[in-house]
Amino acid sequence: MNNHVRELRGEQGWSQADLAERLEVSRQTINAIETGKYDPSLPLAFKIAKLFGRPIESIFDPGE
Amino acid sequence: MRNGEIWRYLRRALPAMLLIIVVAALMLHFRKSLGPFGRSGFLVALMLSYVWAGWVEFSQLRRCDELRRRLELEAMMLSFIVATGVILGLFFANALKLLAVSFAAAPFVMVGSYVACQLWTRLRYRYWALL
Repeated sequence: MNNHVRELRGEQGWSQADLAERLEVSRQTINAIETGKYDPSLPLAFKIAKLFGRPIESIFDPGE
Repeated sequence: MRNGEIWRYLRRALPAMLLIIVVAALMLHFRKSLGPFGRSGFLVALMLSYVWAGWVEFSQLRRCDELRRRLELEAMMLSFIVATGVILGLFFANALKLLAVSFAAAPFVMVGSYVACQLWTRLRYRYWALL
C-alpha cells in the first residue's frame, strides 16, 4: 500500500518524532509506515487522516 | 522508548527477575539438605516468580504500540517454529544415537532462536528502540 504520510508530515514541518507523539505511537512506527514496510491498522489510519484533516483514501492508496 | 519509560519498565521487571535468580540459586544451594516439602516449596516459589516475570512482560507488551506488538508476535511465531524444529531434530538425533545431546540444551535453543528471530524482525522493520 502506498501512502502520502511523509509529504503531509513535511507540509506541517513536523519531524517523525513529532508525528509519533501526536499519534501516540513510536517513531519507528512512523518510519515503517512512511517507508512502506508496515501498513497501519484501521484505527491508526483513521487517526492519521483525522490529524491531517483529509479523507483516509487521499492518504492511503491500495496501489496495484 | 524514552529513558523514563525504560526506567519504569526496569522498576517493574527487575524485582521479578531477581527473585527468579535468588530462588533458583537458593534452591540449588540447599537442594541436598532439604526434604521433599522444602524442595516443593522452592519449586512453587520458582514457578510463582516466573509467573510474576511473565505477567510483567505481557503487560509491558500491551502498553507497546501496534508495530511493536506485531514485531513481537512475528518473532515469537518464528522462534517457536525454529526452536521446535531444532529440538525435534536433536531429539531424533539422540534417539537414533547419532548425537548425545542433553535435555538441558533445550532452553538454550529456545532463548537463542528467540534472540535471533527478534533481530531478524527488527532488521525487517528497522525497529531499533530498546523496548
